Amino acid sequence: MSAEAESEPKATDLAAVWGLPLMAVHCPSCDQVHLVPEEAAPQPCPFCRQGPVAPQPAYLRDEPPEQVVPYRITEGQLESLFEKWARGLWFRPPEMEPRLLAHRTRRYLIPLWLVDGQVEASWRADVGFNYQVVSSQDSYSERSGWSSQQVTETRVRWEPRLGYLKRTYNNLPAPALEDHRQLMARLGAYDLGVRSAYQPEAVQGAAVRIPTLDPQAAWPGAEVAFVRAAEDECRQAAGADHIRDFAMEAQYHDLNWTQLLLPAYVTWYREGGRIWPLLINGQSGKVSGVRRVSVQKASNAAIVMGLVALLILCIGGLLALLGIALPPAGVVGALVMAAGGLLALAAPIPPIWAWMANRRSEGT
Amino acid sequence: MREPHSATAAWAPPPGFAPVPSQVDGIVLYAPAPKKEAEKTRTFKCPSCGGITAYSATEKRLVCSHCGQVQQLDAESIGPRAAQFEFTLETMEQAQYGWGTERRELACSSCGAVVAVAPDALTSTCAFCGSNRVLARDIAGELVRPTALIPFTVDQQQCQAQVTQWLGQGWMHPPELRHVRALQKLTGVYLPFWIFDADIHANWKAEVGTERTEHYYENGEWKTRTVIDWDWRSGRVHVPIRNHLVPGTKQISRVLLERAQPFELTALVSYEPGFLAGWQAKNYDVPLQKAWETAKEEMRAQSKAACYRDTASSHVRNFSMTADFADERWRLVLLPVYVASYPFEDKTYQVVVNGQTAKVAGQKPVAWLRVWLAIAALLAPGACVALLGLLALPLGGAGVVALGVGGIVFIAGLVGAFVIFQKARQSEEL
Repeated sequence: MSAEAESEPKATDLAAVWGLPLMAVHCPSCDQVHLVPEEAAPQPCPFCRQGPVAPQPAYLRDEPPEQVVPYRITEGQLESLFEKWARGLWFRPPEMEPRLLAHRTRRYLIPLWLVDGQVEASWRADVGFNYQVVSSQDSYSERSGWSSQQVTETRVRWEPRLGYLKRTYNNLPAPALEDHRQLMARLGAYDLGVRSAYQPEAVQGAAVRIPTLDPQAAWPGAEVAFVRAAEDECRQAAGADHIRDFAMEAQYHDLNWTQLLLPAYVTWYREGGRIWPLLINGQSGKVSGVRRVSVQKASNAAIVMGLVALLILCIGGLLALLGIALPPAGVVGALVMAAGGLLALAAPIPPIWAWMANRRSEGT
Repeated sequence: MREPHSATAAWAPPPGFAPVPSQVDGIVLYAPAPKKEAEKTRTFKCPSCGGITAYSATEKRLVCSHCGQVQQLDAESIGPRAAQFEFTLETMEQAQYGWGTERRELACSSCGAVVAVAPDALTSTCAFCGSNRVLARDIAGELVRPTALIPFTVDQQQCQAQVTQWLGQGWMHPPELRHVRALQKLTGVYLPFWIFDADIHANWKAEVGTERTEHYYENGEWKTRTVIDWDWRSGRVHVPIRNHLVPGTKQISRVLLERAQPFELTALVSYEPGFLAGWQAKNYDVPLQKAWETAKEEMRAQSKAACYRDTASSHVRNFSMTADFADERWRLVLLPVYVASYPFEDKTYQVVVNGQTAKVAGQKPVAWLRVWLAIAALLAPGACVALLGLLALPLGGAGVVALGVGGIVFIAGLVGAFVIFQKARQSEEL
């Protein structure tokens, strides 16, 4: 065997490592790699649903994720969550039916690094102590003279502090995905305090995102977590209520990385020739996705309004003609024609509104 | 709470920082080292001969009483910028304590005045009441330390001359006053004053009257009269109050202290114990809260007056207002005053001299015989003319004129007599 062949990385045996027959698939549309059950492939991308995925070898750690945050939202609760999410939307697309959305939903797991380590650092910051200032609001009237009411106001006194710390921090979260921040912005916060050890059943039938950041690439995010943890502890050490301008020069030892899977659901609906994916936080139930308005439904409404307006105009016209013989009928006819005209003018409003609403929702 | 961790040998804090207890194990904490000024005490001795030095009002430096060597004092001129404090719930805890120099108290068993003096001072006479019953005692702790002071600029000789001149002034006082010997005991004392700042945002509401001339018809003729139209108005006034002085002692009449003002606060310098060398300094006996209440009452009056001015009318009724106090701040400063008391005809009179401007204010005995004679002289002409007019009334017009002129002159004399009486009364009382 040549030296090149020896150095070539070996694809991970997913079934052996993860305990389930999984395969890695790449989506050319969203450029994400997922692990999906072997029997499910080939299917559209579980995340963006935009096109067929292509199998590819996976180069992962030789161990499965250590921990999983369990689902708190069951699949039976999803329909009511979708109903709540879509409530109040006019001209709702036919595919945005809660029952349909719930039917299409599948479990989706997002990786996150947890880092343990010891920090030795010199630090400095401004710490703020709350204090109360006594003021007064006095009032005067000719009848009762002066009266005074004491007012207490809380202010912050800032003082410099510096020092040295040697602390061990465990399970600090660090992103494992390049788009972690965007995903969390959509899904909201997770309670990482509730975790369970990984079992192959945890990924049964689910799509799992493959980390795009290895520990080395994820280190900047982990360092931010270490700094935040140290900042909060320094505030506590000073007995302060606030801290600002925290800076530290640190050395990190005994770093240990473990992987955690965060629970989510993914589903989709089709509108305007495109697929719109939805993400659901499997712990809090927060639904995130674009609420599209059906332009087709809005256009249909406009056509109906136009036809009704035409009918009213015709009736008005007839009454106006009758007004030649019977003048009061002419007046009524004019009024009816005016009403029909107004309705005809209002007819384009629904599609225009739908177009604008869709533009706004795409923006968000 | 845990002590700082021991595993920090490799790391050293920058100068000016001292360790403070940490509430988390493994975190060592340093804070700016507290100023130790308040803790250390200083004695003032001449570096050349070891003699006692004292601050000289004329030299504006420390001068050795033995060899005459002078020492410059290192104090920053801060004027009204002197450090201010907020009215926090822990105000007293935050304030610095102690005088920064070794001092002891002299308590007068006659009037109760308490004065801080240098340990070598042997004052045996109370500067406030002239009593010799003065007892030395340990200085009371936990006092708010003054942040600034105005040094004496008037020396004892100048002050003596001013007071002697002041005592000799005025016809209504006994001429023997200018020879009062007890003024040898004129004592320079730094008196405590609280200075307050505040911003008052006042909202007022009142019925404001506008005068209007009205023509009306009555008894067959047109007449005019002034009527007032009332309407409800409101307004908002911002009253910034700066450097409001309230004496920190009750031992000296506030009336006298007000008459001896103003003090030029731009001359304030940062508190430096050297300025107190050789002088007495009075501890405050009016606590901050009490002084603030006094100041607030005066500030309320000022804000009320500002609201009345804002109505732009002399006709105001159903007036009401609110005054929101904001950014209230306080300082404790020492201001220079000479205090003396002198006995005259079995009574003791108090004199206060502004140690910065030499303005004199004090009690002066009144020669009441002179005052009553002057009052009689003022009233007599009018009374006599009126009496003559009364007697001449049966004679007709001349009597009426004389009675009228006499009445007018008598009333004018009455006003003059009242002014003289008030002035005489005020000069005797505190």
